[in-house]
Amino acid sequence: MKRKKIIGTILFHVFVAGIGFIMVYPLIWMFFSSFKASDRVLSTVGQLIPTEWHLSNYRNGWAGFGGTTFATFFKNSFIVTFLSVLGNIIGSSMAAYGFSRIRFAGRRFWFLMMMITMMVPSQVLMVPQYIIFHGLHWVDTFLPLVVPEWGGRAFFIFLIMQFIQGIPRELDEAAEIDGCGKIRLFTNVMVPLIVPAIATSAIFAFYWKWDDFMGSLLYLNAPKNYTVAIALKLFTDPTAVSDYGAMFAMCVLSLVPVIVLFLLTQRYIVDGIATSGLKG
Amino acid sequence: MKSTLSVTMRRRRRKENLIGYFFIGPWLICFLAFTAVPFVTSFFLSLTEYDMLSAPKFVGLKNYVRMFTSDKLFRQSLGVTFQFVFISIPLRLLFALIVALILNRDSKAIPLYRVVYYLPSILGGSVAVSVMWRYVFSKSGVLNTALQAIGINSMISWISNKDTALWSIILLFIWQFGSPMLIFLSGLKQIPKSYYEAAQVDGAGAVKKFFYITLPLLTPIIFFNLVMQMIGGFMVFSQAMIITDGGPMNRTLMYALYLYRQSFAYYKMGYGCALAWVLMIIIGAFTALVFKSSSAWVFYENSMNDGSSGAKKKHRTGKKAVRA
Amino acid sequence: MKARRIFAVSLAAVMALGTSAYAGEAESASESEGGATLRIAWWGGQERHNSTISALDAYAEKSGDTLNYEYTSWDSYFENLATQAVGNNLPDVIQMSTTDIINYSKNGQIIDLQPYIDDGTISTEYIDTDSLSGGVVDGQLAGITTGVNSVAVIYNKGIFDQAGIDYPTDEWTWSEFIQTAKDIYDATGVQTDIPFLAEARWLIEDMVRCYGYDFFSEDGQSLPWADDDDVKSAVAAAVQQIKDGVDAGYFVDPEVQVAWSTTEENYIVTGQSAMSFILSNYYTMYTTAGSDNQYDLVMLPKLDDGKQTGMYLNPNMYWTISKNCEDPKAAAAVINYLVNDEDACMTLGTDRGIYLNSHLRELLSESDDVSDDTKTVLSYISRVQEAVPSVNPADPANSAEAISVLKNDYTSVMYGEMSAEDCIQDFVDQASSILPE
Repeated sequence: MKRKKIIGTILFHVFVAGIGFIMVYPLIWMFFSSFKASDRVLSTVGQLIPTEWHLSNYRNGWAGFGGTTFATFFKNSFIVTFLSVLGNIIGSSMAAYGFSRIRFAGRRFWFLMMMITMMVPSQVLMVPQYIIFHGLHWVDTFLPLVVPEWGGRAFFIFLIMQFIQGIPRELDEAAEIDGCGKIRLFTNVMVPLIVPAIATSAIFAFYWKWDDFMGSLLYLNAPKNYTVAIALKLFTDPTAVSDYGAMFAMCVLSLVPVIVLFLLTQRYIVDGIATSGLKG
Repeated sequence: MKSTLSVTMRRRRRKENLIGYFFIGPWLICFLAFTAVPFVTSFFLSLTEYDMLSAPKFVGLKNYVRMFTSDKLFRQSLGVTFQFVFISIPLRLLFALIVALILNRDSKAIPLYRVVYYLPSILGGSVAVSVMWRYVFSKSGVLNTALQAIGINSMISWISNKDTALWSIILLFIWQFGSPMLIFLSGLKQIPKSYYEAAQVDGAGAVKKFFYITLPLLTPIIFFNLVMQMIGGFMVFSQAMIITDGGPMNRTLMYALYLYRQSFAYYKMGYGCALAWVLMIIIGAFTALVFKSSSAWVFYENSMNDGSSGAKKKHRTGKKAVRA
Repeated sequence: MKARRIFAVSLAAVMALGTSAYAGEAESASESEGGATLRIAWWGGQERHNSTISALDAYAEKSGDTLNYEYTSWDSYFENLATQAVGNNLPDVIQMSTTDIINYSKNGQIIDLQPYIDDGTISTEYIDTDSLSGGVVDGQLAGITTGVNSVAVIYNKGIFDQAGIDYPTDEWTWSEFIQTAKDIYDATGVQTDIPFLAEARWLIEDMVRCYGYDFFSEDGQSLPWADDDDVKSAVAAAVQQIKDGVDAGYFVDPEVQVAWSTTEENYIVTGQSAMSFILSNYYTMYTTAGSDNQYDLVMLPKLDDGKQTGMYLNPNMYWTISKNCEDPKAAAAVINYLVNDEDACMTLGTDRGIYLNSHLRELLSESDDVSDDTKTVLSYISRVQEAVPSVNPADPANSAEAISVLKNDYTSVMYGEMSAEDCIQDFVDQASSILPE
């Protein structure tokens, strides 16, 4: 019986790790490629481990463009992303709670509007949005990238709503009978219960903002304000010899914060306090 | 007596309204300030010829007429997109769910696996992905070599064959199942352990537990993922752009890619907006359908608590859940 | 009727919101004697960014202007620019492509540069004024050509040697080209790229030019050769010959060729192809990636019945000045520096095409810092310029959509989905409805 279980565990790990390897192969390939001589990167696609190891790609990549280095780009990305994620989780969880637990006039209408505007491709909203931000004199600042995030995103609002639906209503009622106002109910009772949803949202919000190319490009003109997402595209040009080595090196670095955040946050998804302790 | 009651009622309702708008306030302000006007504008622009470099010219329904009468690529891209959505979304969700279930156990290595399975999603539409995809699916690529090894002589260039090109993009889309997987995982974690313990006592097996506890309690999350992935699937863009750029012969011309070309490469923003509104109506119709059907298959935990028998009582969700 | 007017007014109001927001706000730029503040936008890769920044930094120091750079990738450069145009917020000096310049020029987003040539701000001392024609749109000098390129055939000398076949000459004909491809395949098993599979327009343009036609009419509303059945059937026959070669195996399988996306994948680089049709400015890209091989450039073969060579010079890209520019004279001086200055030229190289300025060309071809491959391109462009001195104008409005139709139809022929005649006729038909809008 016990041996069977051990064999089962081994099979499980071999299987999951094996498939996992295939899943992340492109990333591993990119990692090793970033140490190849730049002109060998694309001519030796089939070879994983570099024959010679070069750190020059990291040096050349980090140097950036005309004196603006990746230190600047990373700093900008961190500022923009941190502020966006923070705003996003506050705005989204508030709205989600409002939509799912409070009966106010017009909530069906606003919920419907929220869903509908999600269905319009962003390409056609870009131009009118630009006019608004330009009118506010916000172009070439971080504001157009950060401020709208404080309202939360429909995706996260809807996600958190689905989690709130899973929380027994008696809990609210009990708290209210104890004289707890809606606001305290939200901060003290609800928020701890939806931590997994908030953590999930935070991971997505971080990655989406970190990776956002189009928005950053539209609203940031000066290279000193560029984010990593813009900078990564500056290496390659379809009509010229491109430094793929440097690009891959910076790509690898740009993934580090996303992975670190994921590792830090996934605990909250996994150890979700959930309702387990409450339900008895 | 009656009037005082209605006064308290009214006061109470006003208070509810106030609190409600307080909570959705940040969202509402941002929505009205940054989304609502562009959204309405895009509709008006769909009734114009607008090249962005000069003022829009009102043309009535001309863009819509052109779309449905003479634009072959509109039909082509719509067909491609439908094919893409109906194949890739169910498969992506299925994979995400299976992997989430596999990874929803206790083991030291699990956190690592979670990262590993999520990673493809953060590669997005990067150059590394497009290089790899061609390396695997080209004529002399890894896939054909592997097929050769098991005795199948394949001479197809998967990413540029007219019949298989779309599949290479579908595969890429499925491969990046990290985000629905993560959401499934957090949904699984929200299911109270006590339910499983109770079932254990009753002597239920793993299969029974899955179908009687896991699946029903996960339906709100399945519902969420289905809606969101569908909306996202109809608007898929970057995968098609980096791998095939719509080719060969428009066999992978996604609707959003076509819309983008009309708007920005051909300077026909008016037509692009019309395309966008038609897409919105299509997505809206399918989303409404899913919402409608949800009352038949989505269950909320609330009902398990208030139902005396513990049976799964149906709850209306979504739009209706808001009202409930 | 009334509703329509209200609609038009309110829409105009919304769109004008951005326009008016900055209308009154003048940048505090003093007159052009130094001290101007200019925004300069271009797209490119790391090399171009670095060289352009260093050239412009040198200029800024010399002139006392403040130059703000807005460099991006090719991806989304024009989405960004169009959006800025809507916001009335275009940079002062803009690097512009041949396909997009028409839209900016006809809508008055970029200004006529002729006055700055007339007053000598942009010097034409070493520039043949004919060759500036590449930047003329609707009779107005909308952009200064940064440099020119031309269509070309790159061939791998080693494979010709191995097959025992003479190198092609600029005078070769289409049937000689087909025969060469076949002979090389028979002798060595090495194939030849399908000519311009990804950019069919360059091939068909060359073919119709052999009969003395321009590809697009001067007003951009039609194809001047659309009703000439002889030309259409000659072009279709040539396209059919390529398809025959695909079927016989001496041209590369279209499924393989379509899948190439990086330079390194091209068979001409890996040594699996003897010849490839390219734009001359890509030459060094291929020679760098395929450094094990020996390459050279030759003109496109002339169609056998053609009256003349089909070769032509293309503007590579332009420098333009936006209407939002407060100090166009200072902006024109920057452009002059970029296209005429010796130091700038040595810093920038031929990254934006082969200079119009004959003095700079000489300088480059004599310089030890310039690679042999670049010199090959320089001499190739000189040869083409001797044959056809004027530079092609920019593409007309709506041409991008028409060109994509041609690309698709041409690909369909190679895939065996469409006949060569249908391909040409379908393009002619569709272009006649797309172009005039």
